[in-house]
Amino acid sequence: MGASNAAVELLAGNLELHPDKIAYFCADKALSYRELEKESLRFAHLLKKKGITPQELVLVALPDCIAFPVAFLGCLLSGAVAVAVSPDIDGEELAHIVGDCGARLLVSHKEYAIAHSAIGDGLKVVTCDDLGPLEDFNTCADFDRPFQPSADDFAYMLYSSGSTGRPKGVPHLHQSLLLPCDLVGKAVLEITCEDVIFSTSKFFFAYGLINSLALPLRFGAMAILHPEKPDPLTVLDIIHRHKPSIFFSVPTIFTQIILSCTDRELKLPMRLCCSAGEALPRLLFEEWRWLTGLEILDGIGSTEMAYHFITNFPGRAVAGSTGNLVPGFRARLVDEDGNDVPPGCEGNLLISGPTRTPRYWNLPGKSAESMLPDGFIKTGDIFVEKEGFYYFRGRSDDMIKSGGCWVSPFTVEDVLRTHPAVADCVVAALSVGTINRPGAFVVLNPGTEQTPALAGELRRHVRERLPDYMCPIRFRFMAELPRTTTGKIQRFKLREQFAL
Amino acid sequence: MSVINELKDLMLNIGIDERIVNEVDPDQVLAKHVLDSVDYTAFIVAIEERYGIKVTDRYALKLRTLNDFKNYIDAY
Repeated sequence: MGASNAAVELLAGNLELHPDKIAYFCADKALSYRELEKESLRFAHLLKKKGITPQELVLVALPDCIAFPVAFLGCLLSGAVAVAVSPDIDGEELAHIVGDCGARLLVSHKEYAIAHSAIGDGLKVVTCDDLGPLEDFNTCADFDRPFQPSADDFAYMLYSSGSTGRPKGVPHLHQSLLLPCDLVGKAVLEITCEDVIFSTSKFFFAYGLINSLALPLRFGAMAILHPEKPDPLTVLDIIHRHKPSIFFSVPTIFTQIILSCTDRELKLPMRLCCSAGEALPRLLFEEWRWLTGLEILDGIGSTEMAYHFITNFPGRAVAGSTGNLVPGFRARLVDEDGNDVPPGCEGNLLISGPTRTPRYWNLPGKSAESMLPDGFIKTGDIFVEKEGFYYFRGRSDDMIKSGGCWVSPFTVEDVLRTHPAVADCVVAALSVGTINRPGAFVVLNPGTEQTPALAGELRRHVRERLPDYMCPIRFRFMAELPRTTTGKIQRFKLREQFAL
Repeated sequence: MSVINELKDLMLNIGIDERIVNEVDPDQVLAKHVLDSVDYTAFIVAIEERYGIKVTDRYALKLRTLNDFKNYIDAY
C-alpha cells in the first residue's frame, strides 16, 4: 500500500493557492513557495546525480537557514531519508552517526564545512550557503517525478540523546510530518495561512522541525528562521521586526526575555506563545502573563512521537500543567510492574499514537524494551493526571533536561574526570531561578584545595569541551559519593541534596 | 569591600571576562550582553553560597541588575 510523499503534500496546496507568497524569511533573505518547490526539486535532482538512491540516508547538518527546507524537502522528493543533525555536532558524534546510519552524503554549510570535512574519506559533501547548494547545477533538467513512498518507507530520521551518551536514531514515516499538523496545528493551535511562525528551537530537534517546516508549509503560513543561538535581545528584535503570530520556544528563553526587560509591561504581537522541551514552571507562566498579558501553552512531545502528545489549549492553559492529551493519542500512567495507577497518583507515562516511530535505528533490543507490543512507548517521564490535566513530576531515569535539550550525566562526568583535580564525580539535575541545569558533586584528588576559583576552573573545563547547556552550574565538593552496598552511586540521594 | 564589588568578584569566579565585569554598571540589565542563561544560574548559585542565602524562583525572575541583587542580599 502506498503513502503520500510528505514533501509533495506540504508544497502542493501552496503552489495552487499562493505560489508567490513568502514561505521563509531569514535575515534579509526570503523564499517564495514557488521558489521553494523549484529549489527542492533541483536539490532532489542533485541527489540523483550524486548517485543517491531511494531510502538511502542523507545527513543534513545545516543551520536554520533557507537551505535547510530546500535540502530536507529535496531529500524527501528524491526518496532519500533526511537525517537532520546539528551543524555544531562534534566530530566524534558525527562519526558515530555516519557509521550508524551508513550515510554516503553530508549536506553541510560553508561556515561549517571545515569542521565537517574532518569526518574523513568516503563521505561525499554538498556544501551550501544560506540559500542552497553552492555547486552550479543550473543546467540540470528539472526533477519532476517525486518519489512515491510505500507505507513502510521512511522520510526522515533524528538522533535523540541516550542515557549512555550514544545518540539513538529515530526514523519516521512520511505521515509523521503531516499528522502533527492536523492533530496539533489545526485542532489545537488553529493555524491558518495568516499566521507568521517563529521557533527558537532549531530544525534538528523534533519540536523545531514540525514548528518551522511542517506547520508553516501545511497551512501556507510564513516562517521566520534564525540560524544563530537565540539570545533574548535578538529574539525580541526578530519579534518586533517580523511580528510573528505564533512563537515557539523553551522555558530558558522565556526566562531570559523576562530578565532582559526593564519595563513593567512588554507588548508583543503574538496570538500564541508555546513552550516545550522541558516542563514550564508555574512561576514562569505567571510572570510571563503578568508581563505580556499572554499565556504560554506548555506541551510535551518526544523525538519518538514526532511532536506533542500532551499540550495546553489556547484560552484554557493551566499554570504548572503540561496540559491535556491531544485527541488521537492514548496515554497510560503505570507503576513499575506496568499496572495502571489510580487517578491522582504518580505513574510512568506510556503513549500510543499514529506518529510513533516504528523502531530505533539498529537498536532492536532498545526498541523492544521501550516499544510495547500494544503500541505504547515508554517515555521515561513521571506524571500525575488530575481532571484531564497532566502534571510533570520528574524522570524515571538519570537523564537531565537543560535548556530544552537532553543531557546524559555520564557525558558530563566523563569530561569532568579528565580534569587533574577530580578523583570522582556525579552529575545530577538542579533548578535555579526556574531554569534547569546540571550540577556536579565532586571528590577531589588528595592535596587539592576546595576553592571558589576551582569551581570556576571546572566550569570552564567543561564549557570548553561540551555545549553550554551541559555545563554544571553548581559544584559541591564531597569526601566521598553515596553508594549502595553493591557500589552503585545513589544518584537520587544527590538530586535530593541539590533540592535542599 | 562593597557588596557590588563582591558581586563583581563572584562574576569573575564563575568565569565572566574581566573587561566585561569592570564595565558593568550596577543598574545595567545583566541579561543584556553580560550573563547568558548558564552564567546567570551559576551567578545565583555563587551568591547563595557566598552569602548563605536562598534566591527563590519568584525573586530570581525579578533580579535583573547588580543593584537588584545587592538589595535582595541586604534585605535577606
